[in-house]
Amino acid sequence: MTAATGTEHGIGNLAAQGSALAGRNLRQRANAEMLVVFGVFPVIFVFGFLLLFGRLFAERGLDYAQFLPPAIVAQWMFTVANTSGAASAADRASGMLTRCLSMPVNRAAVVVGRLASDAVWAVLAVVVISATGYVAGFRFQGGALAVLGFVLLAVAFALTLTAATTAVGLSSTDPEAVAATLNLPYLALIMLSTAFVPADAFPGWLEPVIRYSPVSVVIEALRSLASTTPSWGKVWPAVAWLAGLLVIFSWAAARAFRRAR
Amino acid sequence: MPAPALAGGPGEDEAVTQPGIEVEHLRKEFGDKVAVADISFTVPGGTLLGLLGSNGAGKTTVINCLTTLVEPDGGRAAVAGHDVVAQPRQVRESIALTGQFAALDEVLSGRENLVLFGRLLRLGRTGARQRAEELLDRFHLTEAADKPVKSYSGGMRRRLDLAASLVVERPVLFLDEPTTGLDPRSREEMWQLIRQLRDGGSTVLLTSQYLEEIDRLADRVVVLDDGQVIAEGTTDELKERVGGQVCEIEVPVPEKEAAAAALRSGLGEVAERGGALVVPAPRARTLADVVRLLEEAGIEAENVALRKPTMDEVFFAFTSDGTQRPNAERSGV
Amino acid sequence: MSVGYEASVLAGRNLRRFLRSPRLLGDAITFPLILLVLLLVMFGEVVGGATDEPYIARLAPGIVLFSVAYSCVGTAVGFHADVHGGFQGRLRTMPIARMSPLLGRIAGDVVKFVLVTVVTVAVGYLLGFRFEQGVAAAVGFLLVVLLFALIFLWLALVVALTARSAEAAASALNAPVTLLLLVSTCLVPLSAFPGWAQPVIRANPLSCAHAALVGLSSGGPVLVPVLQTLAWVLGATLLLGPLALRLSRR
Repeated sequence: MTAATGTEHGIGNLAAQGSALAGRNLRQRANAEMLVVFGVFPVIFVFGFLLLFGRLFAERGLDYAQFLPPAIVAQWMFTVANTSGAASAADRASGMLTRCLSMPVNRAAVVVGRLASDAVWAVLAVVVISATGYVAGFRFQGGALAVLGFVLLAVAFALTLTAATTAVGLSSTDPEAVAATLNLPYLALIMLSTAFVPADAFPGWLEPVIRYSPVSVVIEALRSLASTTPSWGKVWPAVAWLAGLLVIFSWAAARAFRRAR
Repeated sequence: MPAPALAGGPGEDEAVTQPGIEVEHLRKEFGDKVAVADISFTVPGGTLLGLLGSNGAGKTTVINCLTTLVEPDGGRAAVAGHDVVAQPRQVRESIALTGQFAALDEVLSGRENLVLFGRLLRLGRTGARQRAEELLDRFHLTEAADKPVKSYSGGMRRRLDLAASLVVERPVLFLDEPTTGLDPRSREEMWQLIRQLRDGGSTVLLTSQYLEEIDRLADRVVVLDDGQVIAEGTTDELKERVGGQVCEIEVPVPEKEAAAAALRSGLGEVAERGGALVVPAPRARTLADVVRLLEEAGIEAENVALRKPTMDEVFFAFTSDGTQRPNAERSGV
Repeated sequence: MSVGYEASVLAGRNLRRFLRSPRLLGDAITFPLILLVLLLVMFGEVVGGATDEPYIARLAPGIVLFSVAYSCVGTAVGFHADVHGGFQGRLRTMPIARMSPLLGRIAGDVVKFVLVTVVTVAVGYLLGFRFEQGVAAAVGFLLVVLLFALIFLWLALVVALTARSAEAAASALNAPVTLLLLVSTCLVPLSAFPGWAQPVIRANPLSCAHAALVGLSSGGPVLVPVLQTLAWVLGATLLLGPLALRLSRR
């Protein structure tokens, strides 16, 4: 084999190495803890919140079983991203990152591998939560295209957040600290959105903040895609938000990646 | 019996018969895995016994039984004259353990750890502080005394761990692989501290996978393999049993085969260890024989020397089957 | 007595660890506060609008209980590290009482719970929470919290002693504690739950203690919920206490 056909360049190498790393990422995390996070917690949240608020919102004329699952999906996209950020820090701490970077492996394979495994977790979460929601009364009321749009938007949301958490993760070597740091913005962003209660239930002065938060915009788009009348008017602001955030977060992640050694 | 009349005074008598550690037919199983099959040995008071064995030989289980951490399934053991099963509390009042993992609070500083253990052992607040100061000084930790333990290097951690075991001086010390993972310099420092303890009259049971460590520190050695005692004696005795003196010959690599053949024709057995050729040398004359045989074969040796076998050779001789068994008795010139 | 002294020394150590680790401190103090404020903003109108009393009167005691229950995750992780890191082993080869390490852990955590309760109640005060039943009831409030905490402390010790890793211990406690909060009266009144679920919600230890705390702060029945809480504590202590002690001797 000559140097020209090395192992570092070309789409073939990237795909093979990326999928090898993605496989390792998935296997590493395929443990009892992740089973609880992806199998047990979504069920608890869907049914727990329904028990809590189903009746209260029914009185206000809101079908909470249809309202809630898209929010739980968004919440779990945060979980995927936060877990990924902690895993990046762990890879840096253990020397795994250094090893990959010191081998004749395509630079982008590390990133591709991480994104691919996160996408798998994200899809898994969407499936589990939708199925749980189905039991509780949630339905995809639009066509197949809308369902596809729902899944793609959810995964895109997860990967956009992953770009941000990777930037944080790669700037630390303590996975626990990263997880703790990421927990705070996650809680604030998800709770101060239309995830669990509609915008008009918040105090008046807070309403505009809630309504225009990117998390709310994405959740409203997901809700629209699950409804009888999916509307492009609800989806494009979400796509625009994600595109914009992706540019910023990717830049931050790339910077952290170059500095992390 | 007129025994009282014969005794040379109570103080003197005590110094001679001070009890150390007695282990008789100790047995311990975990599920269906036999960790300790049948182990007996004695550590006379004031001596240091080395417990030598590879990973899984049963060293730590023996230590855990003797320090009351686990209860043995069979046999009997006494530490400082107290039975480990019947009198665990008295045993704990007589011992100190330095385990394989530094048993310290990572968040607290070195000084705080020592004060904590001192207070638990009822030295009082002031007493515990004073003792901590002494130990920090003696173990060269004064400078790092107020830093959290998690920032300590491996050597500092082990020293602090040993210091924590000595907050109250105990007659019997258990050191479970105290230098595993340390750099040579830190290991040398630990050895010095352990030697001081032994010279100070403590009974010490030291486990190690490092043969050099046992060789340098121990009065007697017990070699464990697979939960059994396979050899026991002083380090010199064990070396003697492996084959007394050997002659080690270093030759250029390309000529090694020829040299081995030449030596074999004249002396019988030739082994190869660490790149050098080794032949048993029961008499000083063997040296001359070696030189002559090599000369006749036209091989120039880089080095020829007589030496005693190393503890590595002792270890391999007793633990591995066949390849390097004790063979000196059968090989003569 | 020597057990008391030894336990207090070890409790001091646990407390010192806690106060020195910004993350543990943050988890224990800022987490409940954030939860308090965010939940108030989120649910204040929906839930508060459906009942007569201000939502903070329900939420503040609820968050105190949840924080205390949730802190058992930290207790389990810390205790697991002690057991497997050798610290516990050293204590066990020392001539101290067998009970002391367990009691020391519990005593240290009790101080932590008092701190969490005081801080949460103080911030709740700024948001409109009030003790309307006098000083004795306020003291009773604190005592109920500490009693209630025992349930989760025992649980944390047993989980820490049986879990294979610190992460496993944490995730084994995380899900049940969160579920208990959701299916309790800490966030919404009993009447908001569907009829078939109400007996379960009512029996939840968080609901029992919550009713007692609301009674002791805003007013309402006290004796029955306190007795119910006590029953939970006794049950947990009799069942999990000896189990923890036996596991810690292994």
